[in-house]
Amino acid sequence: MAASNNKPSFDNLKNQPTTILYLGLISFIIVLMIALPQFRTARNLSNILLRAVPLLAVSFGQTMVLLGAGIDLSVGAVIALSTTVASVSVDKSIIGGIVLVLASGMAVGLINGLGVTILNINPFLMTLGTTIITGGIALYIRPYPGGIIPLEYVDFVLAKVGVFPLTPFILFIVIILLGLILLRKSRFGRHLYAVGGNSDAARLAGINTKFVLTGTYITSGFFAALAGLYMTARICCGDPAVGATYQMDSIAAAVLGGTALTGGRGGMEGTVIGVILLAMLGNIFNLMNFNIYWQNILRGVILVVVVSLSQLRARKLKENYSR
Amino acid sequence: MVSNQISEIVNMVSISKEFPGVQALDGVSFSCKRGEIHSLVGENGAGKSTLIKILGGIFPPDAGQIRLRGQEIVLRSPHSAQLAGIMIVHQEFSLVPYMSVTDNILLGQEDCNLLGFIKSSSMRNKAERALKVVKTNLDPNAFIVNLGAGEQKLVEIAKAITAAPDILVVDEPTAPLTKKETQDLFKVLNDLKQKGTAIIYISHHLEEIFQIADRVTVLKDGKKVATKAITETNEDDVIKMMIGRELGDMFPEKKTISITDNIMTVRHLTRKDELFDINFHLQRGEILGIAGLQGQGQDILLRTIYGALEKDRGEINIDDKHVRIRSPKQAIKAGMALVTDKRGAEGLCLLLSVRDNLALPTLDQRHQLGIIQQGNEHTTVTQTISELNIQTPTLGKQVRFLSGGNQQKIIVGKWLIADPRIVLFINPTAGIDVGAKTELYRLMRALVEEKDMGIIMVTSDMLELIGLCDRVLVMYEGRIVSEISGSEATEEIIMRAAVGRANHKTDNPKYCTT
Repeated sequence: MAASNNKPSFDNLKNQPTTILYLGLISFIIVLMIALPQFRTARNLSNILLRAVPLLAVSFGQTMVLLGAGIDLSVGAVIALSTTVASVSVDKSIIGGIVLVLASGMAVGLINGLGVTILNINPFLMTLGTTIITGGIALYIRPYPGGIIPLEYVDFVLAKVGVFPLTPFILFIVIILLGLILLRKSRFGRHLYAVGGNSDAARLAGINTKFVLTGTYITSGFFAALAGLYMTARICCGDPAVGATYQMDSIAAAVLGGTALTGGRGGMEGTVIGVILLAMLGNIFNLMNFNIYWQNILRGVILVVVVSLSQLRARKLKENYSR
Repeated sequence: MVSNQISEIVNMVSISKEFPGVQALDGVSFSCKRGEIHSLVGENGAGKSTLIKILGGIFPPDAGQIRLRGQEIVLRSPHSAQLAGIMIVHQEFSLVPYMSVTDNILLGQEDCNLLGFIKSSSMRNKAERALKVVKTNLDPNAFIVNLGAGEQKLVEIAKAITAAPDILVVDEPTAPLTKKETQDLFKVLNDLKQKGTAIIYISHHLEEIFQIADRVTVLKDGKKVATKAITETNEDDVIKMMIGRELGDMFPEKKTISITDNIMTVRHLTRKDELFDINFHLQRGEILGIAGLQGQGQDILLRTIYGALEKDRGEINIDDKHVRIRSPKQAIKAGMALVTDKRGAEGLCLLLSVRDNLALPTLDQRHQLGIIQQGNEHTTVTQTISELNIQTPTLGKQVRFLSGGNQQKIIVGKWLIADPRIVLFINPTAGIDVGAKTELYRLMRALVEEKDMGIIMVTSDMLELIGLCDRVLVMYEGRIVSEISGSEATEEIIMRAAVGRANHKTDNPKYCTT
């Protein structure tokens, strides 16, 4: 109550869920390095990275949408659309194809954003609708996997130095930095946290909440399309069925990293960990020859446990706030 | 007179506003000059908040005009009000919980470079300057969730003054503040006044007003009673202006209570920072009113008794037997029922039918192996509907289509089916029309007289307290400060106690004169 009751910044650090997550992740990796010799091979680590890049891109967009108290189910369908659009365009012009794919992803995001903010449609339903529409368009463009992807495109996207995947690594770092800067250092990010945390307060402070929320869906569409471009190079064709798992995995990665579905809380720091964790888990399961059923069961259990832990913490903080 | 007009930076002329069923404002004029603190007072529901919300661009007036710096202006949104130099510190919190103090203070006014990136150091400097103006040494990096209520209020004020407004409105700022924080805040407001800011200060606490205001305007029932210079009036005068309505014949006659045994006794009830050692008893067959200005702990008291809020200390006896109440479920079992003004949120399932709503609390008694005994239910429900005279076309009608008065009767009715002994009401007549109010009063009277129940009613309506209650307890800052018998209760006596003047404030001799 008293004004002199200043909290040292250590308390803020302690309240950051990411601190605990980072410690957990590092110890997890150390244990794996020691226990699993096949895990620490350069080939395997680069495999994890290759796996993590598209998930990171999608999860970044998803994190933005979640921070605004929305949800974007359409990311998987946007990936599928992107690979099919890429498979009919990059053979004509690589740059043109890339631009076309990114623009179509952003268009889906724009429609999502306008539906949510102007028509006031519940984000879950709005993006479910665009998922079905986008998936339909992807099937229309390419009913079954195919298309010719120029080798230059694949070499560019998956450029390697020795076994080290250079372009994926650069992409990985750039997306993280972009996320951190956008969310923590930009005015847009600040407004997004405000809109998600207390939209009345944000509106009263003169923030255009509709613009901010629409912006998150467009960003999400853009990064899902980017993931689609990447996937196109990896699978070397256009495939309307690819991408479905990213819908739930991106939400899982963000939530594992401490982003609240209720908005205003979380961020890129946590999502990076969520993404690495999910990518590593899949990798470990493969190394240990777990069958796919067990993998799914375990992944689900881990998600529920981590989220319930963070719920406990949130409840404690909330009690503090309401007092 | 002419110079007076020029110095009036804001002038609201003949403002009227009607909400469904209520004339919230009726031709109210209000003005504030540069370098003046103008206080706005009135009972709950007098129209203070409505007037301020109109000034803040939250909704438009139905009639009247707002003149700013001598020119007429239309405030279309909160943002346009802010651009016009009007900042409002609302009574309810308007901070973003999971953001830092700095980010909250500069929300919407961030310092950015051309690319839209935040300049943290200059943001921090600005925030520190604003915090210095409100005389606090809060850490600008602290998260709002980690702050106390008083600290949060100071952050809100810091946020409002960063925009360097010409007109600053503060709505009940001192409720979460300690005495020292309040005095510090007054220094801040006086500093701003010296710099020429026009300050509109809303408060229930007359002592505060006489400490800092230059003028005071009293509203009553959406009308302006008077505007006076603070030197030309005194607290008694202001109290008299705030009260004074006719009772009319809305209320059923009170009967002298013949039975005098206690149905419930509350002892030493305490809840941290909100309720302080509450002691009272409720007699069989009486309506006990709980009075007080908004937010003095009345709602919290009833919710704590009902087990919806946790208590830190204290015991409740029903029929001289100690009962342990930790949840509403236990309270219901002990024979209590709670009827609140939040009909949609707490009282009814709006999408369910009249029948389903009425039957809800007593489903447990009316099923066999989980299957509801429809016939039995139908009889009970029909009986209640006719007893309470609930106007509904069919039993299957969704309750959201009914009027507020009928909805309130359904809430009362569903608890009556559960046959309670003590009914707790919180503002039971808020937002319902006069006819339904009268019916509800008769019903409450009938319950205590014919069914031997006891009723506790929290209300902000003075007339209800005087016209309906057998006894009135007045709360101030989480304490019961006065007990007044129903026959002696007048608006003036209640209001005196409610503004903290009936109790003995030994630390402030100025207020011991009565």
